[in-house]
Amino acid sequence: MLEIKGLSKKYDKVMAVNDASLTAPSGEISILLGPNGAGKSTLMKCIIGVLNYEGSIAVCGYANKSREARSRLSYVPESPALYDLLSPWEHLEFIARAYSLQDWQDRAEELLSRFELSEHRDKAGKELSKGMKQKLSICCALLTGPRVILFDEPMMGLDPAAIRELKTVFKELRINGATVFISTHIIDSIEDIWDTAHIMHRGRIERTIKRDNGNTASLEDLFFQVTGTEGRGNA
Amino acid sequence: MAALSYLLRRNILNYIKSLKKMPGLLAMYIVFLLLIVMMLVFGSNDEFSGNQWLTDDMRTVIFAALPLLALYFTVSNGLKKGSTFFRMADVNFVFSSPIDRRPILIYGFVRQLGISLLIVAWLFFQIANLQQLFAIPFDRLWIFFVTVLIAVLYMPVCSMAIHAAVLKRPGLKAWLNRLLLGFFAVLGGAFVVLLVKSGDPVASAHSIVGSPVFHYLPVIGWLKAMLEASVTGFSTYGIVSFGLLVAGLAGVVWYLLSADIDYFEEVLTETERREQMIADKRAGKTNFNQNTKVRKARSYYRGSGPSAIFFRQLLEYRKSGIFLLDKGSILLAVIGLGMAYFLRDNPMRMEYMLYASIYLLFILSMAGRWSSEMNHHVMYLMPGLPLAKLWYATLANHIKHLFDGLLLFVIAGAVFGTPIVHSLLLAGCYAGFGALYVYSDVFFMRIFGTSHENFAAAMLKLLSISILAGPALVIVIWGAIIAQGSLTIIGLSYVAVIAYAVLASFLVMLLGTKLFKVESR
Repeated sequence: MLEIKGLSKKYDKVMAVNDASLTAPSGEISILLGPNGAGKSTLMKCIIGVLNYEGSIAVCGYANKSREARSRLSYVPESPALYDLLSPWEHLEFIARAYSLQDWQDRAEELLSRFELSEHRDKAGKELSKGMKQKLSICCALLTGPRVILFDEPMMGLDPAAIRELKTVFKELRINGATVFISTHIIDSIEDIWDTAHIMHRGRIERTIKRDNGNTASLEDLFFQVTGTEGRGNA
Repeated sequence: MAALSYLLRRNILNYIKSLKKMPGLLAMYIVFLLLIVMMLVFGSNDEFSGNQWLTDDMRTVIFAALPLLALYFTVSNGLKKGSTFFRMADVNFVFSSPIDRRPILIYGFVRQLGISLLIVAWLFFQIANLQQLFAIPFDRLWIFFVTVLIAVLYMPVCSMAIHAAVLKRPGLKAWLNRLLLGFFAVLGGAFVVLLVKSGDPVASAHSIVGSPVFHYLPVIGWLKAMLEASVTGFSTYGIVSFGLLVAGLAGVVWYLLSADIDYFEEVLTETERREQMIADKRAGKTNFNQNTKVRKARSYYRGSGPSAIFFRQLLEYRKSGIFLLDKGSILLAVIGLGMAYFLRDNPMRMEYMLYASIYLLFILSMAGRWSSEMNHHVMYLMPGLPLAKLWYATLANHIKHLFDGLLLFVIAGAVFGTPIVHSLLLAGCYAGFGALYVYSDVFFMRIFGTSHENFAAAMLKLLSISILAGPALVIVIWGAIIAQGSLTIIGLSYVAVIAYAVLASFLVMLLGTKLFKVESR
């Protein structure tokens, strides 16, 4: 479970995240929606602990910067930045060492196979295409068997087969009781999988919507309603 | 820590292995090493090191100015943005992992040590200059290199420590800022007072930096003592300075480790900025004006087709400087005029200024300001003759070089009483070299292609520049040798350089027109 209470983050005079609170329960796919500049990536960076903030973030009940929390948390960044000289297999080996994983090799093989990276396993990171980098970034995040996994715009750069595979992964993680937290502004990409949607606008969580609480409007309509950007989109 | 040592080990081993796949790059490394060996062999010649260009006072001033500059940039960077030892891959994989912050910092420090050693390795190419300028004996060059290594290690570590210390203490930040400015104001004020009294800038600066107070300043004084030791040999204070520098560095690292500072946010912004710079460099874009404030300027597009490139570049110049006057012009003028001042009694001072300025222009042109144009798809899609596209894509550079040349040589000529025709020819010669450097990029792309490793690309660019600008350099030097003080002969050699530059540039442009045909397929 991921719990955020009263989170605020200020850059100089700009309030990037303003008193945000949300809960992403275990066994659910929660999505964070918002237009460009809403504060989604800042919120994600606060959760993984690379930004300082006011408020509290708990991962499975542990403070997010604690070792306990970090060993349960995985993150797939918006821009996959890999080590230029390390091969996909070596990236996975590094992650296994960093998270002190045992008997990880079979799982790593399986992940590479699922995301069609097996034949590229010995290529240098810099030789991979953008889509392959994104796939490897996802494999690294999944290898640790996280209880909470964050995805920042995960579909960017992926081919249709990989998108379908990733959606399957989301559903498997949900079944296994993990917390899946996806930040995106492309509503179509997650329309069929979300359980809870948090709509963020100008640094605030403006609205939290449950799929099963009788909402008749589409997620897209709700999004435009909250962010007030529909008119411009249709112009 | 095992995971991080695995990361370091694998990176190094994979890099060495990757050389097997790139024999060209491996060959260049071997050439690079051979050049260093040659530098060391020629540098060990006693006759070579016996000819000092600068006086002892000038050397002392420079040896004090270098640590002062380092101090200013270290503290001001620390107060504003900090520093980083990391890449974005580290942020994504290491920072978010359960590894403790302290071993991550040590890992970053080890990486930084490697980068610092590379910087020092490049200094080997400056052995001849170092010996000529400062009369550093060959057997003491190592002291100079060790001092530089310590300084380049100090800078990012101290910047990070300062940034971490002031981040949540705005009062301390303001106080440190005032202290920094106050320190330089005191130095500047003392310099002005002494200059008014003596009228001699070198003597004035020397009486400040040669004072016992300056000598014992922490880090600055120690670095200066070490640099002096590279010329005069180790005194007791030199040895003590070395010990203090190492202990100080260890102390700052210990502070960063023991304070258990949550430094992730502090390094994140700088890491993102550095990552962008690397990405831009790989894409052939320049970061020359990245930190320049963008001014408001109106566009004046005239003409159509390829000429739009030229007017867009002019607009960029106006936005980043005052017409064509930018940081590069000022840097050139300061270095050129500074050198001319030091060599004011030498009848060849204007020629030395030319040599220094074309050397500086060479270094700046290696960054390839114009070559990023070739990465814009619009260059290939827009209608127009390839020759016209190349001409308009480079025209602003030629105007800029001529402007900088005129600024430097006309002012210097006025100060030293050089005939105006001679100054104009020097400016033309400078612009000629600028054109040769610009078109050596075209030559490089046309002959060697565009996809190379960074190091290989740098070496091939160097080769292209040597091929194209080499004859011009030979003409200039040959002219200076045979002229024996005759301005007419020197002037004629400049006319020859300008003529050569125009002809060679035109031929390379013709050669380069095929670039568009190849790339647009």
